[in-house]
Amino acid sequence: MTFMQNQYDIIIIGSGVGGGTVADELRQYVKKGLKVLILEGGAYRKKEHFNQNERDMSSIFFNKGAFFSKNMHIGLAAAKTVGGSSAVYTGVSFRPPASVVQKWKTEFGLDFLTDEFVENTFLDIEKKINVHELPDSFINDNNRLFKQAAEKLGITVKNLKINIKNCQQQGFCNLGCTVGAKQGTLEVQLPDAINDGVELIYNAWVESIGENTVKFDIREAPEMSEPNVEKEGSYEIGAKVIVLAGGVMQTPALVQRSEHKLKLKNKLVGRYVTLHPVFNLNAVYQKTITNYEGFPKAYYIDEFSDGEGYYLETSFYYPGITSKNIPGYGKIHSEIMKKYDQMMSILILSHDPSEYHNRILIDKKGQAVLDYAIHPEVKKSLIKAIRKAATIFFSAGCTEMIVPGSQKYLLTKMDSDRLYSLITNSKLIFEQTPLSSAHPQGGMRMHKDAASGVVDTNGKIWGTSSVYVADASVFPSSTKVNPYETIMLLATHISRQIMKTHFQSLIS
Amino acid sequence: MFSDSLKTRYLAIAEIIIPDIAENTALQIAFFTNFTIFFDSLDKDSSSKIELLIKVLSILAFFYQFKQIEKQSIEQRILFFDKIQHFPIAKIVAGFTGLRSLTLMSFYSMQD
Ligand SMILES: Cc1cc2nc3c(=O)[nH]c(=O)nc-3n(C[C@H](O)[C@H](O)[C@H](O)COP(=O)(O)OP(=O)(O)OC[C@H]3O[C@@H](n4cnc5c(N)ncnc54)[C@H](O)[C@@H]3O)c2cc1C
Repeated sequence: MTFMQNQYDIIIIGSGVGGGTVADELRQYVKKGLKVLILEGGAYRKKEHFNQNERDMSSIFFNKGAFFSKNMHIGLAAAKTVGGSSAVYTGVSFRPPASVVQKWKTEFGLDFLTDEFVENTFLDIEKKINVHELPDSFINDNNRLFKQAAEKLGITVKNLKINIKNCQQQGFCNLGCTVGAKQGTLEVQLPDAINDGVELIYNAWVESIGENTVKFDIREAPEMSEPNVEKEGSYEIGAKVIVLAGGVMQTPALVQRSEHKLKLKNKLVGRYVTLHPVFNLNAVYQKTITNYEGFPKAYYIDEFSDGEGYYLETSFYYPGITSKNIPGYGKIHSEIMKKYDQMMSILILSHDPSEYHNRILIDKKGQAVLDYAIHPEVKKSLIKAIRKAATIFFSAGCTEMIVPGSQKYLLTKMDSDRLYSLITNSKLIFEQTPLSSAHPQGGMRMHKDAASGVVDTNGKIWGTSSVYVADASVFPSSTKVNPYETIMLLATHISRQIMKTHFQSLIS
Repeated sequence: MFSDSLKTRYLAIAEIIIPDIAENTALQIAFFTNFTIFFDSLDKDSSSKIELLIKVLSILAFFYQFKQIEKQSIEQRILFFDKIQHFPIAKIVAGFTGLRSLTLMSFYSMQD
């Protein structure tokens, strides 16, 4: 164990959406003497390290992109790399619905979410990372057909907002952008912060923390990433303030590994996790369509959000991911996959309630474990959403598809008027067709009362004096939409509170 | 790394998931190479669970036909995995689905 000489004012653990936002917010004070260090457990992969190869790039993710719940009903994808999951996200940019903000204020006491703070912060964020609607030239066939078909059915289709700049329209985003078009923390906040003197150590996995100490290991740099600057080994380092931003799986796990040192006994740590469960559905269109061009996601439908509990978004994924998203196996599955060039794709995002029993815990080795059960109402929503998506596919002109929850394996045009009876609750078996999640939220619930949450409304862990959390784990409940903008909103607030509470003298 | 016997048993399963590799030796070799790269980079916990699952599936297949899985015809193996889809132990069903996903990913992520 090496004790690092340098002592820091603030150490941020994790360089993803939350951690990157905190670093960006703090960088103005570095010039005034604030010492800030980011410890990132993943490697430093820059745009030149991304190659769009599914096999090579799967190592960007925790456990190759498949971190399964204990019952294996849902697999979670999160990136372990500088930039966190912002390096692999699609950049779909949503503000939280007004009803969610209202609920967080009234039920959880997040009074700082005033209209003025929310509006001004989002305007700043969206300007900095170039959030905008896509021009027509970015709309590929999958998106065009989705919009036409839904509108033919009388469903309102809305334009997604995306945060990209100089996008080369490669059609895929989720293995890292080879041209750095995605305006996530990897491309925007972290370079700015480093330029202004925030330090970054990568491949630095934090094992545990105390109130003012961080224990971490610097591990070997993997292939296709920047070499290590510091020597590999175990280190301990001190800081006045520690900010945890390891994401929903890892922040609660780190806190549980550190419970002893932090003298914490809060049984809510890791609880109330929501996952925004997803099915990605594919159907075969009558002829070859262009999906490798343009942008994968341009439209969404929120019409069924309140009544039926889901959003539909366009999407399109690589062949490997698509093959596993299509239920089953064998000859028919292979025949369908041979028509990959003709495929349309729709993403179902269902809203899940925050429940006490859904949680992150740790195993004997201290590693994160996800204990999560799909709520029966969510299952019902999923069935409705699958039927709706299948109807849109057929209305678009698709000829065949394989979807979860169907009594008949291969659905053809002839089945289009009996989707209701073919796709049923009893046929949806999650052991056979597991869900996925890329939007985990909660686990370190923010609440104004110590007895009802894990962090206070400044982001500080109840019962500590200088340990904060600034990632998606502080969400009190699901945002119901793609969450990165909301994480940035909360991380901005938390950074400001840290400065006011601990470094007031630096605020002019 | 897979032992030879585990490789044989796994390929008997993989042929049912992706029929194309049953008929094309070159494709099967390329697929298994890609699969091994995926497999070797999984964390130790996941890879030992997968090894165990292949062993369990082979034993169950043996008791279904009283024949080693690799000696069973394609039709016999298809029937066996139809049964596995509805096996009373949920962990086995889910485990097979996980193995299916890894197998499909390894095949369809091969570069042309
Ligand atoms: C494929 C994919 C597509 C997505 N698309 C969208 C989208 O279009 N729109 C949207 O809003 N959201 C999207 N998301 C979700 C979004 O990216 C996440 O919600 C967001 O990145 C979470 O931010 P975070 O700060 O909580 O964690 P992350 O961004 O995941 O960052 C956590 C970081 O902490 C590091 N870390 C964890 N533990 C430790 C430790 N012990 N020591 C050191 N480092 C540690 C991790 O390596 C990681 O880099 C997507 C996610 C994925 C995976």
